[in-house]
Amino acid sequence: MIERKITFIRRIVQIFAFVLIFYGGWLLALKHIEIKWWVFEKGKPPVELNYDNPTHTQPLQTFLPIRSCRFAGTTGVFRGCMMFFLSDTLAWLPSLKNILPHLLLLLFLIFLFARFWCGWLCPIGFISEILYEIRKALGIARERLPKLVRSSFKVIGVTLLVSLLTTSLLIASPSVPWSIRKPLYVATCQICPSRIITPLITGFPLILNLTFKSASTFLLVTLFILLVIFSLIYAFSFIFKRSWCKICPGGVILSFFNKGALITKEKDIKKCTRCGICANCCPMETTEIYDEKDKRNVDHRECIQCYRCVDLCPEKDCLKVKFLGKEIFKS
Amino acid sequence: MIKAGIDIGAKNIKIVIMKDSEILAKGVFLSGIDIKVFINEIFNKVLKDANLSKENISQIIVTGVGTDLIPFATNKISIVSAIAKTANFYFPESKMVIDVGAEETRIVKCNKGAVLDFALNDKCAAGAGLFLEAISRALEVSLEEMGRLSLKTENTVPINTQCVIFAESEVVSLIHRKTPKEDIARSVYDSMASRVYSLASKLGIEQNTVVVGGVAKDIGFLDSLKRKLGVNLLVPDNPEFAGAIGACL
Amino acid sequence: MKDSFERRYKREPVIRKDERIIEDIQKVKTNLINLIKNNPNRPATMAYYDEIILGDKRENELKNLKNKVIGTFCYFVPEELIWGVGCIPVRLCSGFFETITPAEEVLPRDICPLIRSTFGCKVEGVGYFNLCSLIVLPTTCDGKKKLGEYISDYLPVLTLNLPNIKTYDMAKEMWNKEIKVLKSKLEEFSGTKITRKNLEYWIKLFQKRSKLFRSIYELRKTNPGIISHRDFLMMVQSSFYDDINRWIEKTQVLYDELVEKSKQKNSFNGEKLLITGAPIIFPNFKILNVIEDLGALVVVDELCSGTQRLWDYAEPDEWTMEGMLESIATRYLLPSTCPCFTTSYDRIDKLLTMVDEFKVDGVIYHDLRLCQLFDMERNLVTKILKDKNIPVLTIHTEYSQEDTEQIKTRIEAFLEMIRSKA
Repeated sequence: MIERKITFIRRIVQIFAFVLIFYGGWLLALKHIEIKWWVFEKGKPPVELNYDNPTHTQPLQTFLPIRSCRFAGTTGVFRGCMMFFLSDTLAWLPSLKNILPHLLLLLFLIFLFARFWCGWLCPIGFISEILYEIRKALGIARERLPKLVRSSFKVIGVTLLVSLLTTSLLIASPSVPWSIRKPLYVATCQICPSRIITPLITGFPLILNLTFKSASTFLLVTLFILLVIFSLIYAFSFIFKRSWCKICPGGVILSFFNKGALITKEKDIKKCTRCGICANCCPMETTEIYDEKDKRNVDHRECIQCYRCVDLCPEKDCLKVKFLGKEIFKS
Repeated sequence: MIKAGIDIGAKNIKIVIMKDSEILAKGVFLSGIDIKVFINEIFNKVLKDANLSKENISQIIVTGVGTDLIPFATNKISIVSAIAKTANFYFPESKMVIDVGAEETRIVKCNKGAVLDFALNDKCAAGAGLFLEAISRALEVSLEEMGRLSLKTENTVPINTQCVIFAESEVVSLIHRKTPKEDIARSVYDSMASRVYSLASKLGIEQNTVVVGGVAKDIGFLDSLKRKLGVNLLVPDNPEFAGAIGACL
Repeated sequence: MKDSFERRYKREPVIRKDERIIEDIQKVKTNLINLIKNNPNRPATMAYYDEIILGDKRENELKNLKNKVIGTFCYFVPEELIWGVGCIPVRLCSGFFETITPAEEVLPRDICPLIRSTFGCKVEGVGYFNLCSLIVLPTTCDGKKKLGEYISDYLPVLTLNLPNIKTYDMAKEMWNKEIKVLKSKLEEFSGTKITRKNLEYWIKLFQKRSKLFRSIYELRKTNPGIISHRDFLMMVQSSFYDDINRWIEKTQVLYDELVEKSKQKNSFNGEKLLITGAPIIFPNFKILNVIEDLGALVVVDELCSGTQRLWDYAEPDEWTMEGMLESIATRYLLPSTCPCFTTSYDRIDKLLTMVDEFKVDGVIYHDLRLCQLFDMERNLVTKILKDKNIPVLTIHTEYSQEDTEQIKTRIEAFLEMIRSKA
């Protein structure tokens, strides 16, 4: 008999999503399109460039609010992730009718599930959970982030998101020299740890843009250092749970929708015995559900909707997950 | 319907025979050690006073402690509900009843005869009749005389002890110090009244308060209680029989 | 430090062996069980619990087992750890009135009767206290805080520093450390190390026990009359010292029997009461005897010697040694509704939930004389219950049987009050 049912279901969905997103292209034998990157400058003929980007792009020309990373190469399914889409759009400022369907689809998906994407479907999140499953099997104990670090991560996440988006917007101006624009184009991909993890899994050759000429070395080095830092933070999810998810900029965007999404969590205040199990098991190290003693609705921004708290809560019907008003999980 | 009510108190047994709302006969007797032995005797005595026999009585209701000891009882009711009913019978607007008996003090909050809340103090006899009896013995006056004496003065002396056993000796020492009996009597009533007040304040003191029980006949106590509680006190006729009357109602 | 103190000032432990007291206790227990047995509706499985509560059978078993017996108090001692090192935990809180007087030779008179009664068991050499080789004592109330020093004249005592303010970060951290220290001290005492598999086994067993208890608790919601509360408390209190696997087995049989019973007729028509407050421990069932004789029924209790004992269980986030120890530490601290903490919010919430779920007619607050904690909480709890129009009766009492008649008066009046309200 499976003790923790929700976690079991979630693992299955995660594996399924992971396989589909990273290997779907190969499994489903989708045709890949080779694209070329063109640069348009006033009065000059377009120049084809070939830098930093995979030469094959994924068939489904859409973006998901998770790390459906484009570095998955020929085996992947999606063209890129939401962050790539946003950076790309802000950098090139294409016409609205080109991006509107993607934008609307994204908004719809986010509004539907908010950070449910993080907890159930993101392949990078899945890999970080695999890391700590390995740790558990080895018998090594979990550590928790010190309080100061944990609260600063919230601020870092938002700062990161804002700086990435503003950078992308800034380089859209034609007066920016090429040496700055080249490395900063798709700034999110330059520093995202997925850039290192995904190629390792799908076998796509790792590309690091250190070998560029005519690109500002200072910027390249800074970006490289940031990449290393964030990858290390990601790797630390071996000891801490889901450490990257706490500052992920995509997660920050989704977190704004957590409170208004169609999927909600509810708590029955009187049944709660304040046993603290929900606060103990939360991978995002929050105590919002434990602390809440006034309102029924316990959605909060940090929650990745993994429902481990609902799974482990010992009081019957105390925590419930509702979608469009119907209960789907309860403790 | 003719009913009989028997209130078994700590010191006295009160029996009352009523026809609807009219009292036909009543009697108060000392509770002996073995009630079963002489209950028949005293009950028959009251019956004779009313010129009735047992067959005329349709219900015999027992209240107080030891309600299982009366073999011929038909119903029983708790003393708390009984005094609430009595208070409502005599004073329909009453919201609170204070019953000071020989060993117990009971305070009941009620509304139209229904009990809303109650508090009993039967651990310590300082707020009850036995205390007064001990003091009257020490002062060598009767209970009625002591009540009259207490009204003659405005002075009080602090009575330090709340224990009946020590109170007697403390009063004796006060007499030896030539404290006037009036002052002692008034202080004793005041200390009793403050015990009742502290019990009543937990429930909330109401304007329409009825006082029943054997001690309610004592004018000195009523005066002290009125001062301490700050409300007008309503005392029915036959306050001693409040329990037995309530059992019949 | 204690050893140097001992060297400087020696104290002799007081031991008396009064045959009469031992006989009296036996008589009290047997009489009470015979009284309870008079109920014709009693489930047949209760015979097993009668035997265990009477004490002789289990005491003999413990004497013959090689494992050391460790005495515990209160809610806060992690039993999984004690079983994990191969020792047997026994909860020592006692309900005997007869052992109070011998204890007053050593302890002061004006303290909690439960503490005096339990200590008297050691002075007289009665009960499980005699079989213990170590005591684990959390510093809950004032009395228990100082009791450790008195007991240390007889046996080694491990005190646990229970935090007074229940907060998630600071109190939990401190308690975590206490539990780790306890674990190493227990391992030292018993000579066995706790392995990961071992601790996992015990945590899962305790989870099973809790869930079984909860299922019986749930049965009483719809059908309160299937088991009287005295039987229910006997079932819970026999788990203080019984062998866990056997207890689980027998309670499973009891559960099946109760399910069968609830399928047949009977709805209970009397008043349904909830009892809360200071612990009511066999054979001190005075209040329950009065209530059940008057025809009402206690359907649920919020006592640390009743429901609260078996309700919570540890749920580790991960099955690593650290994760399990952390989950044990939270289980034995955070869900507790003991008044030894600074706030009564959790307890009041729990009481209100119970009143709702069981559709209780009235609440009885059992106040042991001289217990400051329950007394202080009484005003808060009763005010909130009264504001919600739930009738409450406070009963101040002690361990002696003298005030049974007075309790009866009060409960009778209370029941009449409830009936006239309805």
